Amino acid sequence: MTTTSSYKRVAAGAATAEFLNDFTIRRDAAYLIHYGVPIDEVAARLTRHQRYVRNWGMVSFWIWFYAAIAIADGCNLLIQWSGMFLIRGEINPLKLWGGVICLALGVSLFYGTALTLVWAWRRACAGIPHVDARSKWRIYHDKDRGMKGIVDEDPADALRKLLVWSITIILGSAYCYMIAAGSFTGIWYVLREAGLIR
Amino acid sequence: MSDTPEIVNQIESSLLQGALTGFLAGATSVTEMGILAVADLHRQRRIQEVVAKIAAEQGLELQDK
Repeated sequence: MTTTSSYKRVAAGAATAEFLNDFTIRRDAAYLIHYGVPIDEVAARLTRHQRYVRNWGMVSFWIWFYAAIAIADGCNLLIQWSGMFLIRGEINPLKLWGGVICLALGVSLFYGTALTLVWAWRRACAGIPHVDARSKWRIYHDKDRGMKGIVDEDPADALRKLLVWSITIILGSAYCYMIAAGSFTGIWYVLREAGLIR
Repeated sequence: MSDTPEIVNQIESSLLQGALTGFLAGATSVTEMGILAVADLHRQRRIQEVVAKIAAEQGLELQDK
């Protein structure tokens, strides 16, 4: 990878992100205006929201790998512990508490970073009474107070949705794969100890 | 700060955001941070464009621009 191509990579990534973002911008602007945010505040609120999500999203992207590792190790240890308890009646406190602590760390890392993204949207919606206490994703699919008919449609929106769903599924599978690998390590350990596999 | 043109504030905030994004994303040079700053400026102006379009459709008055 030469230095020149790293600029190209950054430019291509930024351009793709802005292309995908266009739908979000139209949707969020329409939503905030529709539900009564003062028109002069909307652009400032959305800019702030986008920046907040961008920065915390990047932090979360990395933290979620560590969270996935912690959850995988926690599952591994807890499956080992419960398997050995069931087949041998063994109580190994190291495995039990190690597993509990790993799982708690992983889940709280994940939850805490996901919460920052939810808070970002709530801050953007501050002052809209029925939005304050609800999540962004539920709002969009709410039949009565949802988005239908208030967003400007664009022919490229289908492509944007396809790309965003692909990225989400690929990233989600990466995190889930790590957790599944940890769980299966534990399951295989128990099966080996039970003499069911070699 | 009221006599500062709006575009200056926008460029300033986008440069800062580009530097922060670049830092978080592991940018290795000022050029990469600059590309990210331009992307942020584009997003900022696109948001204003979208808001202005909806405001015009609904007959609402925007204070600036």
